[in-house]
Amino acid sequence: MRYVGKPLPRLEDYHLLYQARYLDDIELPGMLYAGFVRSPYAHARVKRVDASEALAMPGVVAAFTPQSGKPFDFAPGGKVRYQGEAVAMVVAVDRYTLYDALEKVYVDYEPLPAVVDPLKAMEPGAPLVDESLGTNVSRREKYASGDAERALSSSDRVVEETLTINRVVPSPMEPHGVLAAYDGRTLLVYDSTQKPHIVRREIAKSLDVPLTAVRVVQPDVGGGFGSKIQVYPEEVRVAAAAMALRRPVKWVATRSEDFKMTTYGRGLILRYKAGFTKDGVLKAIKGEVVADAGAYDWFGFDLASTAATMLPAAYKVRDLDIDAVSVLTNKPPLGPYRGAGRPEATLFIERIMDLIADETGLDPVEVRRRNLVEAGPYDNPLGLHYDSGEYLATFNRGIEATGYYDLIRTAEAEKTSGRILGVGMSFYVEITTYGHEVAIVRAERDGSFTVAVGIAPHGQGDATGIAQLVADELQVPIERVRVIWGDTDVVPDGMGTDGSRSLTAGGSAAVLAARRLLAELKRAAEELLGGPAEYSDGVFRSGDRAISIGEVVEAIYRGKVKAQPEAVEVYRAKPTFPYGVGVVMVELDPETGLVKPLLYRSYDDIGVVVNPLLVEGQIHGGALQGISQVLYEEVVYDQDGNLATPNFAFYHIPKAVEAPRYEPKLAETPHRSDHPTGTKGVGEAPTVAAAAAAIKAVEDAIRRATGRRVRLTSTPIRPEEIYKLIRGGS
Amino acid sequence: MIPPQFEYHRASSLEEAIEILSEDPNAKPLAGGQSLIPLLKLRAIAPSKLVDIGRLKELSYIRPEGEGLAIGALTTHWDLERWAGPCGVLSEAARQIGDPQIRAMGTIGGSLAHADPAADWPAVVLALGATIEIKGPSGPREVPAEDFFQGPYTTALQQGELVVGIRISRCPPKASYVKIARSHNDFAIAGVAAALWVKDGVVEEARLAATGVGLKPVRLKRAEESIRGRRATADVLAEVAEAASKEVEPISDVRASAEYRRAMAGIAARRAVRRALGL
Repeated sequence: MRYVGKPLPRLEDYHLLYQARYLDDIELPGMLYAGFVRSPYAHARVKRVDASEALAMPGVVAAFTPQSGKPFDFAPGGKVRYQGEAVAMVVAVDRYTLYDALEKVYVDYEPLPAVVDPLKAMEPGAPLVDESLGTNVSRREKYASGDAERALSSSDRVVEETLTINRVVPSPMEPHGVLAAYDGRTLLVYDSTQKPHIVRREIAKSLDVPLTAVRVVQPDVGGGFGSKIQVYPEEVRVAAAAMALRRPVKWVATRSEDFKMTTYGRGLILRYKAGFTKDGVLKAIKGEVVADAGAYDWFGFDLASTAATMLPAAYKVRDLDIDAVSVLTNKPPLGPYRGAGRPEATLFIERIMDLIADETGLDPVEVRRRNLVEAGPYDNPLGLHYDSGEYLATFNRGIEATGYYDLIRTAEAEKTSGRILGVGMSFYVEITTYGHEVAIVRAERDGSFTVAVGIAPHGQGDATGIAQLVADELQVPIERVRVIWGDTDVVPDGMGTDGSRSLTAGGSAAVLAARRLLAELKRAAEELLGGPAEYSDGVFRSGDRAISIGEVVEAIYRGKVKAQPEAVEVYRAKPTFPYGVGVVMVELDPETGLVKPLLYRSYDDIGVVVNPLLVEGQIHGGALQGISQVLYEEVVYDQDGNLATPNFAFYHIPKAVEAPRYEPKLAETPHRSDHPTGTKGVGEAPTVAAAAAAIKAVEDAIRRATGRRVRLTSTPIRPEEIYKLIRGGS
Repeated sequence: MIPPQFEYHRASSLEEAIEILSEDPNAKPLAGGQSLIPLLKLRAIAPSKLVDIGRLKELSYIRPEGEGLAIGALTTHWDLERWAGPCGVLSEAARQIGDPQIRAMGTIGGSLAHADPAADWPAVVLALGATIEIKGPSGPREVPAEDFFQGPYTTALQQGELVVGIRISRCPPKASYVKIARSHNDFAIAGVAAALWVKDGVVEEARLAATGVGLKPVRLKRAEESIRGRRATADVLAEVAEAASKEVEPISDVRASAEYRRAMAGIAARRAVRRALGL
């Protein structure tokens, strides 16, 4: 029996066609509906909020305003700082009454000048998002090694440039929502979240109750992509309202509301100088990664610092001087989005590699070869320890396996028949996994096993992967392993699902717990058998005597032998570093500037592959999100901070018809991580690889169409911009 | 959907619908709902009543009539997509609208009455020289498509009047609709419909119309002139494109600048003519 490595279909989705239970499917007796009054201004002083007319409406139960104080905490500092920030909450018996009542809450705003562009926000005299800081620069830290200034001055060539990665809306199928019910002692919170235990801690802290007073349940969740990592003020407010009103209270964002309140992704800028030799060897980078953090620096700095410290990738450059800076702007807060800092770092450094190729006239593949570290373990100059990998050899194999040069030749050949194709390639190394993770493996009386995990998958398929791992560890059929998660009552702690960490951290915790449980069962079996036993495939054998694992567990539960039928593992999960090559081919319509992605190929070393089917699914979705960042998705604000792309009528996300063909390959000899699972994570790697390759593919297509050297420095690339570039604009 | 409160009235006859709509200026007709429902979702409108005409089967038809075609207002995009008779451009255009779900519900009459300045049907009916059949409290009347569209979301319809049908007197032997859009189910940056009559390689008659490039759909009369009586050589096609670009009056918005839209109108016009002629 060996499940690891097999393309098993997912075990956890069986119910979706019949009994799916997303947040909004859950109804509780006496349930009320909450909604939020949101600021039409990007920046305004809130002078007065009058909910009396709303409260007088039949069916309106309560209203909470800035006057309600903590834990509701509306308009902190007497201001709203982005368009859509909540200023009040109304609770009513049904949604129709609720939405009518929201229109009857009167807010007296004094509009203030808004600051929208993060680079302008850094300039003296810019309007301040938070006056108490005296600046919009929320945090600045330097990451440096060697002597970048000196290395620049001794470089053959120095280039200076600004690379801009736009904000995107994470856009999971299911918007945010929460339902809380208080029974007088315990608050039960259903939450469309990636991190139930973090929600529990935040709510308990905000309401000043012990953790035992809060149970958080993650129902089926229709995606998150990082946007359900933050514990939003809305989640605390709904919980507080349920406690205050002693009735269940539900809030589910509409899609338009989700666009107003969700954390946005990306939004990083790199201003840099890079020095290199005439042989294409990168000597130094000096610059700053600026995060467009939004109104509250929830994640802006973390994202900038991830992008800064991952900037050197697996290239040999060691003279670096990179500031990570988070800048407050009058926009919704920035947050993690599939890749969270690594797609940005990779796009930045790969753009630099492509620029070196342009400047030296060397092939982009050759430039990377000249700069790549041969193999790990490798200590990156900014303090990150890359665990394992053959960077140079795998890159070479990746170029071969993806048929990169064949695609270039195809593009050249097609040009003669008037078809313009573009090919782009990227090398990436990215960081996954962090923190700790908790798993409990419990033997049931019949020798089946329940595995409770603190990770909180919501579509990734981790329950299948973990069942494979545990079934192998215990040598039992996978049908006898059930993985449960998403309920703070079934496992005391955990960090949820993000950072490509779930199978590595959660799976390793589960493997170690299973291993310990099996050792305990073996000890019990030996006591029952009266001598040292060997275990295989569900049976303990000692001489000619044998006992099944189920019989051992049965004996434990009946008190015949003293042993623990359950093992808990708290696993400390160090970072690990997948890496590989991504290749994107696009087709350009040179008359219109419209670009269509045709093909995504990749060659990834993601460590041990537990389930290739799950991996391929991650690559499809992840690569499309990376490509989409470059081709389609664009958040637009006007100069006053009004969101000009407030819903899917204006904001482009790719549908199935826009998806390219996917031809992913995995390294034949993967390099294990140090974790018991040996995995490195793949949830974000394709997004990391694809965006950097896609921008180069578009650039390549424009060059092929025009015969001119065109340089792309920002995403997304609108068809209109391409049209202008082709027509000879700057 | 959490719209403001409205009364719902399912009309059992066209006359009943007209009666209710003419009594109440805040009542709105509901056909396929593909424009109205999103506006209700956004609470952008607050009609007093929705008069559901969706079950009036007699308004759903496609009938050849002489050299032309009569189409009921409640014919869905999907019905038109499957249409294999004369005026085949209807099928070609329908395929480019929204996605299958939208095409299954949305109606041609609803789209024309809504008059979104970037919608697809208005350009097509203009190029086909269609007449819009209207019925209201003072009886039926017919308005040429060119007089029907008056501005963004504004038509010749008076209170209580409904679009009941579209009449095309002569289906063009060659026609095409080309839409340039950011992605498959997006609104047009520019869309051009071309209807052509050709004899011995010479374009005898041409009707071109564009959408997405102004406050309302427009005939491209200069582009038509540039090809009328001529062969569609590369030079002539370039003239068509240039004329179309020059004569439209697009605006800038979040989708595209006026300048880009102007250029795309030309590209779409040239492509529509080429595709119509099978070039």
